[in-house]
Amino acid sequence: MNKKQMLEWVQMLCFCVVDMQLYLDTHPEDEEAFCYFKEVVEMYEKAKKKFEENFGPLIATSAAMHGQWTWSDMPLPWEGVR
Amino acid sequence: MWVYERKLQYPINITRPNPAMAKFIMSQYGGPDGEAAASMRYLSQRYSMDNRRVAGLLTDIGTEELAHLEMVATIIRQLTKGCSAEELKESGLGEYYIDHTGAIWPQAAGGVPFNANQFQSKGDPITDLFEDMAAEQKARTTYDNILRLVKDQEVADPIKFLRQREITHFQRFGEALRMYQEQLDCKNFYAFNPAFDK
Repeated sequence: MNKKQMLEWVQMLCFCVVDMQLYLDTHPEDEEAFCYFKEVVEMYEKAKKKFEENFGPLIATSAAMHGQWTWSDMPLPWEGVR
Repeated sequence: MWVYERKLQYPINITRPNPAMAKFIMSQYGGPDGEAAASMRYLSQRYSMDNRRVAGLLTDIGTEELAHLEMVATIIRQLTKGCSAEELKESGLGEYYIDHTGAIWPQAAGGVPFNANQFQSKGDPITDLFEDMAAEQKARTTYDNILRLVKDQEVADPIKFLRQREITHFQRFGEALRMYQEQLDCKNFYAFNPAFDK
């Protein structure tokens, strides 16, 4: 996967997490949903870590995994392709 | 508190500028039914919500709305970036350009600045949840209106995502209302305001 594909994969999994979070907020006893939530959280953290190791931090605390302060040079999300 | 993730919730890559479209989409940034109103509404209502689960939902949805606010701003920015003053003027953004150049500023498409009159935080949980359900429908309608005018797939794609989220949020707020009503006297929901009366 290239950078764009890796980021989109992180975005997709993050969205799954958020969507399940809202669902569980109103269905706190749904065991199946909670099981699925745990699965996507694990996939999301794995994908996020892989992206961050290769391309830099997505949250500021992840900057600690690199040899120098990389947070300030990460692109802002609205920069786009142009 | 909030932690920021330096990514969009959904990818946006607009290659063709269109300031005329940006003018309309601006309503979802600072307009009466836009994402700024939505986030301020839910994040304000949560403090007096006496049901922890509902207050949690208001916090979580309010947080997602901030991410949507960022997406709308990104769409507007990518539609106007690189345009000349003449191009902005011809597209109908002349007055906006005079006061804001190429910047993002929260206002409705018609020019009304974002303000707290666009939302209520009423302090009565039933009232607030109905306000929230209405807000999601108003936002969905606004996205429907935008989609009738958008011809560019690169713009329509994230807009359709945002529209779908409004429908999902509406569903969640409906469930929250039912959840809240479980703690009330089923013979009289309006006997008193549990968020205020002792």
